[in-house]
This record gives sequence, structure tokens and C-alpha cells, in this order.
Amino acid sequence: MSVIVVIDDNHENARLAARLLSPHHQVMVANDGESGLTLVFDHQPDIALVDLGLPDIDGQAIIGMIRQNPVLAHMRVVAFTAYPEETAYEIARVYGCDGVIIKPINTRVFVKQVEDILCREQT
Amino acid sequence: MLSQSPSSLQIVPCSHFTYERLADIYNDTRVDYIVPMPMNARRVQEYTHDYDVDLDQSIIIENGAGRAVAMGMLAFRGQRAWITRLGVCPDQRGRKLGDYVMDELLRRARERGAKAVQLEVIVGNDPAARLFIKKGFSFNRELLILSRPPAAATTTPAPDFSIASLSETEILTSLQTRTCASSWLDDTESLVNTGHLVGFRASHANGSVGWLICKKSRFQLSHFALDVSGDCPHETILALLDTLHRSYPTQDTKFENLDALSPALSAFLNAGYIEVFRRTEMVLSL
Repeated sequence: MSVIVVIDDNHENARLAARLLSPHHQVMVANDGESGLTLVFDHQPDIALVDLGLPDIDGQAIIGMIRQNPVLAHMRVVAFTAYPEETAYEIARVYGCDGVIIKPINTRVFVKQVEDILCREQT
Repeated sequence: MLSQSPSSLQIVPCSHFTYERLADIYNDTRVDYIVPMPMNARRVQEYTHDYDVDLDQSIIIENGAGRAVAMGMLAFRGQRAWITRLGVCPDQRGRKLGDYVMDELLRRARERGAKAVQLEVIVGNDPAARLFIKKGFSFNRELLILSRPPAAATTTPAPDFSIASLSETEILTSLQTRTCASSWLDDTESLVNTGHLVGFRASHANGSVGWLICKKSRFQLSHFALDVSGDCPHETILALLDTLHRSYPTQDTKFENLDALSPALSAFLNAGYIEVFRRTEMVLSL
């Protein structure tokens, strides 16, 4: 069982992600960047799914902060976004994300997408 | 033709709503936007303040049931007006509500004495672009939104640049004398309104000089302005970016609205910036 933080301002989407992941993992949800950062720093999860378009802080800035912090070096970070795919992958590459999950969630493969990233060697 | 008669629609000034409610309405109209850019109440408040949005002239459209179905904001600077945050809720599109909002905003701009209106539309948002063309707007230029993760400088700038921090007074003087065209977001008024500005000047013995100013907030560097002259603008910008990112290595960076044809672009790309998306700037003379 892994600890997962989902940071997504779309409540419906965040709830769906939590519902799909929670039978297998411990899931915490934040609906804005500020509370997402608090969850990440307080609980140091195994993985954070970070929406790039958040209402208070840009998702990229959140990812940048996580990546800057040596205490969180073990943590996987995923760009969880409705951005155009090409843009999402480029942002993820430059910001050092471990993966990209494009929204809307594909409920059939979502859990596997997350678990594959958890199992992967860290970038 | 509006599928809902105009009489069943009500125009309500944005000033009648709280920032929380404006954020909710805005987010509802943009829930499926090409590039998601949601806002919370604090961001809406900052946005209206920084960009001189006139909430009395900005509008929400409510349908007969009192539901907010569309919105558009209007800002004024002298005889220039700016239309922004235009949106229609996804389930209400195709009913000419965008037309209705635009006509009302343009009417208000004329009434306030504006001689020109400008706006930006994200490249790829074809329905919006078609609407603006229909209303008489024409293409002005393409603008880039660049992003760079936190890190100290990754390039080695050309040597022999003398670098100095700009004082608050020097920042204001530089902004007032800049020669580069600015978009509404990085107009001098916007930068002065937003505050928290930092700036550097670079000069070289060969006569190349330049300055760079931006906003430094807790997480991010944003709201850029720069001006360079002399024989080596590329090296001058690199020297400025190197200084900026060495000074603030933990800040994420977002540069909105760099002219796509700007000779400065190559220096930004060399310094680790990536293009996130593009906007088209459009203008209309009234």
C-alpha cells in the first residue's frame, strides 16, 4: 500500500481518482495548491498527482517546489492534467516529473497507470 | 439569433458579486478550456486590481432562471480598453451568448470613450477567434507563454558584463522609458499595480546595455519587462537571466506574452525556458 496525494481543483475528478485508488492505497486529496503542498510536506507521500492548472498556485510551481526539496527526493510526481498532451509531456520532462496522466481519467487503466509509475525506477 | 430572447437574459455588473462567486462563475465557463487556468477568489481580486478591470463595466449574464451562464470583463487605461475572461458555460454554447456579451462590452467601451479595444485568445480556440473577427477585431501579433522550473542558471553568460540591481526608483524609471511594445498583462501599469518588482541592469564595455524587471512572489517569478540595446542583445539577455536565476534559484518562472517574433526568444530558450502555449493578440479601433 502506498501513500498518494491527489492535488486537483476539480472536485469530481479528485473524488473519482480517490475512489479508484483507495481500495489499494492510502489517498489524500487537496483541491488547491496551498493545501496540496501542506499535505505533501506533512505526509511525504510515495507519489503526488499534481494538476497543472490550479486556482491559487500554478501546478508547475508546486512540482518545482517538491523537486527542490531533498526531503521529498524519494517522491514520485505526476503531471495530472487536461493540458494538450504534447505540452503536458514537455512540462513533465522539464520539471522532472516521473509521469503524465492526461485527464479525463480513463477508469479502466488509471490505477495501473499510477502503480506503474510507483514501480518504475525513479528518474 | 439568440435562442433565449434577450428579454429573458439579465446583464448584471460583476461588481454585484463577491470575488468568490466571480471565481466560481469564471471557472464554470472555463471548465473545458484548452489550457485550464482556474482562479480562486484571491486570484480574481488580484487580477482585477493588477489589470485595472472595471467591475462595474464587466458583466455576468444570467438566464431566466437566474443562473449565471456567461461573463466578460472590461478594463480601461486611458482611451484603451481590454476585454478579458470572456466565457460561456459549456451547456449554454451555440446560443449566441458570446455575441451578446461581446456586443454589450463593446457598447460599454464606446460609451466610456475608448478608441481601441484589445484582447487575447489562446491559439486553437477557433470559435472564440471567429467571434472576435466577426466583431471586427484583427490579428495584431502572436504572444508566447514561457515557463522555466526552479534552478540556478544553466548557461554560462558571456563574460565582462557588469550587473547591478535596480532600485525601486530605477525600476519605475526604466519601465516608463522602455521601448518594447507591451501587452496588457505586462504594461507598465500592470507591473506597477502588481508590485513586488525586482530588476537588474547589465552593461558591457562594447556599449551593449539592458535591463530586466519582473515580479517576485513566494513561488514564482512573473510579469516580465525587458529592454536591451547595443551589438549583443542575446548575450545581454543571457547575462540578465543568469543573474535573475542565480538570485532566485528556488522560484518557478512564468513569462506571459513574449512576442513570438521577439529576438529575445532564443536567449530565453537557451536559459531553459519552454513554450507552454500561445495567444493571439487582436485589436479593434472604435
